[in-house]
Amino acid sequence: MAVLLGNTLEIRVVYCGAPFSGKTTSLLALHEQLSAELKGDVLMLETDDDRTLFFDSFPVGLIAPSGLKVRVKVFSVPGQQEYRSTRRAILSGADGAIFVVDGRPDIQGDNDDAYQDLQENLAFLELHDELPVAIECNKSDLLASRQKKETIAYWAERSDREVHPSCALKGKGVIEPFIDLLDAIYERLDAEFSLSSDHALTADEFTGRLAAFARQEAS
Amino acid sequence: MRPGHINAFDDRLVGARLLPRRMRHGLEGVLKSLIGKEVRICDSQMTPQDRPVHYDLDAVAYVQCEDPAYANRVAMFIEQICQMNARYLMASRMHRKVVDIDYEELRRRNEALEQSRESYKALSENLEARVAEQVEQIDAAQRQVYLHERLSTVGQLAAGMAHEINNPLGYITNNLKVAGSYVDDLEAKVAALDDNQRREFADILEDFRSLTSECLEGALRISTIIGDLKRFSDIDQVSSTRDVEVCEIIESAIRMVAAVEPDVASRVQVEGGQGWVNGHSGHLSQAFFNVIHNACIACRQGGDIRITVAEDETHVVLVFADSGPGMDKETLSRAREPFFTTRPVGDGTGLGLSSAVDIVQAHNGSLDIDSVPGKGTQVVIHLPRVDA
Repeated sequence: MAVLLGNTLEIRVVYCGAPFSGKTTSLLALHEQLSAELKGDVLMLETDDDRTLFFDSFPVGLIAPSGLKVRVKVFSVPGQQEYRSTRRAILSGADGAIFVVDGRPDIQGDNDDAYQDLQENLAFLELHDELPVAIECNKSDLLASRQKKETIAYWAERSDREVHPSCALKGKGVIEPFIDLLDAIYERLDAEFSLSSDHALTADEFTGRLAAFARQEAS
Repeated sequence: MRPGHINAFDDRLVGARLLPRRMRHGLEGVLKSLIGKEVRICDSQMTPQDRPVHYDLDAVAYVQCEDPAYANRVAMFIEQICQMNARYLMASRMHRKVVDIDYEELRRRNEALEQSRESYKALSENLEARVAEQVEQIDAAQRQVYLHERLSTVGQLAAGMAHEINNPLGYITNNLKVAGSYVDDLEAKVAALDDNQRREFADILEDFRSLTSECLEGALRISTIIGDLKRFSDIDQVSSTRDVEVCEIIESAIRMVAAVEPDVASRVQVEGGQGWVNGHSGHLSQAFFNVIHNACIACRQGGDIRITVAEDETHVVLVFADSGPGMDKETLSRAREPFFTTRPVGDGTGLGLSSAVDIVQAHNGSLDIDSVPGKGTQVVIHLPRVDA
């Protein structure tokens, strides 16, 4: 959960999902495209064979008209089952999650397991009812349009938020779930930290400035 | 506090952690030899020319350079070093955090295991007592079955005998009565004869009369025995209980004992009034039979048996006291055990007293036994009164 440290509001966003679903790829694509006024480097803690060991992370931020600094740290977690404790450590204190679905149809079981794991971890951390989860359906370029529709419908049933198709490898569709999540997070934080009243930070400004992006050339 | 908040792995990394003092001195020396200019890494901004070193959107240190033209490049170099350092620091914090979570999980599981181990231990400690209890219950049930079987065998036998004997006994009794009336007729006829003839016939007639009346008496005794046998075997009512009078049952039991211990009648004395209880007369008769039979065996070498029937507020109290040789402590302590007997093999089954105890307990009563060697034995039976 967001905390106010001095004059800085710390917010944590976490990419979750099955192994190889594209969490780190999405995080890197997001980092590349964001053009927020404050943006830090990506810190990667990976293994020799380029799998995420603990996490990848980068910060983006803004300074509100009141002088309040808002820092959003974006994390990705390791997807393999045996790293559950690491996922729990990173999810504790999270303000929102982006669940990355692996769009390949033969991977459906892994997605279900990962989603189940996320729900269990949230229950363990007692975040079950409060944490907004945006859904990014990755690799959707590999799907025929009917399959894509079905996959999106499948995940729409499991979430009360919109399901966003993406292709992280080509840098497509990673901004939308981030924006979606920031909107949900603002809604919760505004009540707690009086963002609009005390800091003159509106929802549009919050999301617009944090998720400002340089439009990519179509590749 | 939430379970995940044991320690936060991404607390701000400050300049002192990212650029410890010793490292700063080393860096300052290396940079000076590289660019030939004086470089200082400070915690705060001294002059406007000082260039901040950024990590994670914050300024974590400031670079002061003799030649400000180098400040920017030096700061970027130090930022790279901060990032490298941060990787290590974040990884070590994360490692600790994960170990904490895993340890907590292991501790929790260990506790659960410990608990289940305790409950198994408690179970295994109880097991022996529970097995003994079950064995005792099974034993009791088996004795009941055995007793029931025996009683029902006796009952069937008695029912058959009673039926077979009662019919011929009926016409024997009738015929003897008719024969008696013929003797009366003959006597009338004889009275009309002359004196000599009359005297001759009178002796025969008198003999004849005593013969028939003795036979009739015998037939009545047979009928009484059949009645006792029927009561003893309970063939009239096998499963239902009814209000019964204990003295009557005791008298009947004594007559049954007389069949095996002929001198019982001369030894036993029954005192006291009536006592009404609810139960099976056949079962109670069996219980009393066993107790009286034991007393008779004890008195074979001399002694007598006193049976008293009394009532207290709630119970009919029956006391069977004999003045036989009594029992020593060890025998007394085992007397109620099934299959315990002091008699030679084949003489006693060791079930007499234990089945009496079972029967009395089945009637919600109690049986207590006390004995003094050389003085005799006393069995006290309490049975709930019908009107209590």
